[in-house]
Amino acid sequence: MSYDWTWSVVPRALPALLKGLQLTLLITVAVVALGFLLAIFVAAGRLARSPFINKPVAAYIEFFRGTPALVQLVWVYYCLPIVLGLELPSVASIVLALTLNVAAFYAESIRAGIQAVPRDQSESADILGLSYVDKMRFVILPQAFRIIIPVVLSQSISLFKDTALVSTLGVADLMYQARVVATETYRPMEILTFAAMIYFVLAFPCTIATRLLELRLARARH
Amino acid sequence: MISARRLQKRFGTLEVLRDVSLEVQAGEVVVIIGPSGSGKSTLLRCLIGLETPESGEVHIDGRLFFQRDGRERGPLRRTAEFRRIQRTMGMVFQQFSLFPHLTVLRNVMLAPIRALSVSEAVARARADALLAKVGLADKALAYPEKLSGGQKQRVAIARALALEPKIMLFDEVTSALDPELIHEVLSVMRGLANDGMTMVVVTHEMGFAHKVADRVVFMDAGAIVEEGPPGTIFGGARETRTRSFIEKVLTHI
Repeated sequence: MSYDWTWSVVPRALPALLKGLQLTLLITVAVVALGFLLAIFVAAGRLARSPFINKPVAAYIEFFRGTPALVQLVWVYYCLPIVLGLELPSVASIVLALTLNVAAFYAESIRAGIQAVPRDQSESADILGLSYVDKMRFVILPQAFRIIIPVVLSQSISLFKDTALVSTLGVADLMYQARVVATETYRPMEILTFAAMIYFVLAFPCTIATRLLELRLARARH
Repeated sequence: MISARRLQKRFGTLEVLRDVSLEVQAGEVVVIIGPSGSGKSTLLRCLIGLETPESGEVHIDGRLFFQRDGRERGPLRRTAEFRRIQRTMGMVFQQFSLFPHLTVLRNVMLAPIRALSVSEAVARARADALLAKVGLADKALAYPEKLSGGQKQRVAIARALALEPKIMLFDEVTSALDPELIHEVLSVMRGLANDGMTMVVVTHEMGFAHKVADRVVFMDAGAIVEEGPPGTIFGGARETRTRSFIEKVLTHI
C-alpha cells in the first residue's frame, strides 16, 4: 500500500509553477504595500476623537476581521462589479479585496502599538511643547513601530500563504498553476507537495527572521 | 509666578483636590509634603495642564492659564497660547520618562529644535552645557537604558531645562531611586534653587525640604492643611495631622 512517487514530473512542471509564484509574489508585495499605507490612515481614524470618524472605521475593521477572507474575495470579485456597474480586471479586484482585508489587521496592530507606548511618553512630549504631529513623529511612532514590526511581518507572511485563495477565482497564481499542472500530468501528489514546499521554503526563513528581529527589538527596548 | 485658586479635582467619586489654593513667588522654592494619595501629584499636574480641574483658576507668570467656574475660560488645550504658557514650566517625573529610542543628547535637543525652532548648533551647545551642569557630559551619546536611575533623572532635569523654563515642577523625582543615588539628584536640584529657579517640589525627602525649601506645604486628603517656613513646620507645626505625619516620617528609621 505504498504510493509510488514519481518526482520526475517536477522539472517539467517547474516553469508553470514559477510563473505562478511570480504572480503570487507580485500580489503579496502589492497588498502588503497598499495595505500598510491604508492601515496607517485606518489606525489614525480608529484613534480619532470624533465618533463620526472612529465608529465607522471600527465597523470597517470589525467587518473585515469578522468575515472569511474567501467570502470577501468572492464578494469583491463577483458582487462589487454588479453593485458598482463596472468591471475590474481580476488581479485588481483580488488585490483590492486582500488590501481591504489585511489593512484591517495591520490597523489594529498599529493602534495597539501606539497604545502600548507608555502614557508618560506622551505627557512628556506634551509638556516639552511638542505639537501633536511632532509628538507622533519623534516620540510615539518610532517606539510604536518597534513594537509593531514583528507583528506586521508575521501578518504579511500569513498573507503570502493566504493568497492561495485567489486560485479559486481563476487567477493564475502558484496554487492555480499547481492545480492545472497536477491535472495535466495526472500527478497531483507530487505537484501539490512540491507547491507546498515552495510556499514553505519562502515563508519559513521569513518566520525565523521575524523571530530574530523580535528578540533584537525586545532587547533594544529598556 | 504661580497663582492657583480654589482648584477642585475629582476622579470618579474620589475628591482628589478640595479647594486648593497655592501662591508661589518668583525664585521661591516650595516643597509639598504629605501622605500618599493626598493630592500632591495631582496638584502639580493641574498646575502644568496635564489634568483639567473641575473648577478653579491658574495664572502662570501673570497670564491666565486655566479658569473654570461653570464654563471654561483661558487658553484652550492644544492651542499655541496654551503650549506657550505650558512651556514656561518644566516638569520632572518619578519615572524619568526619557525617550528610550533617543540618545541622551537627542533627548535634551528635541524640544528646543521642534518647539522653539532653535538651530541644531545652538541646541547642541545648550544641551552640552546643560549636561555638563548636571554632571553627565560624558554620557551625551549613551542611550537611556545604559544609565543608572540617578543619571536618568539628571538627564530628565537637563531636558526640562533645555526649554529655559521659569518654573520647575518636581514630582517625587527620587522615589524610584536607590538610596545611594538620591543625593546626586537632590544636589542638582539644590544647585537650581541656589540659581534662583522658582520650584515646586513634591517629595518625601524631609532633609531636602528642611534645608532647601523657602516654604513647606503639608497636604492631606486633597487639601492644604498647613504651610510655613521649614523651621516652623518641622519644629512646631500647629496642626496635629502635620505633627503626626512628620513624626512618622522622621522616626521610621
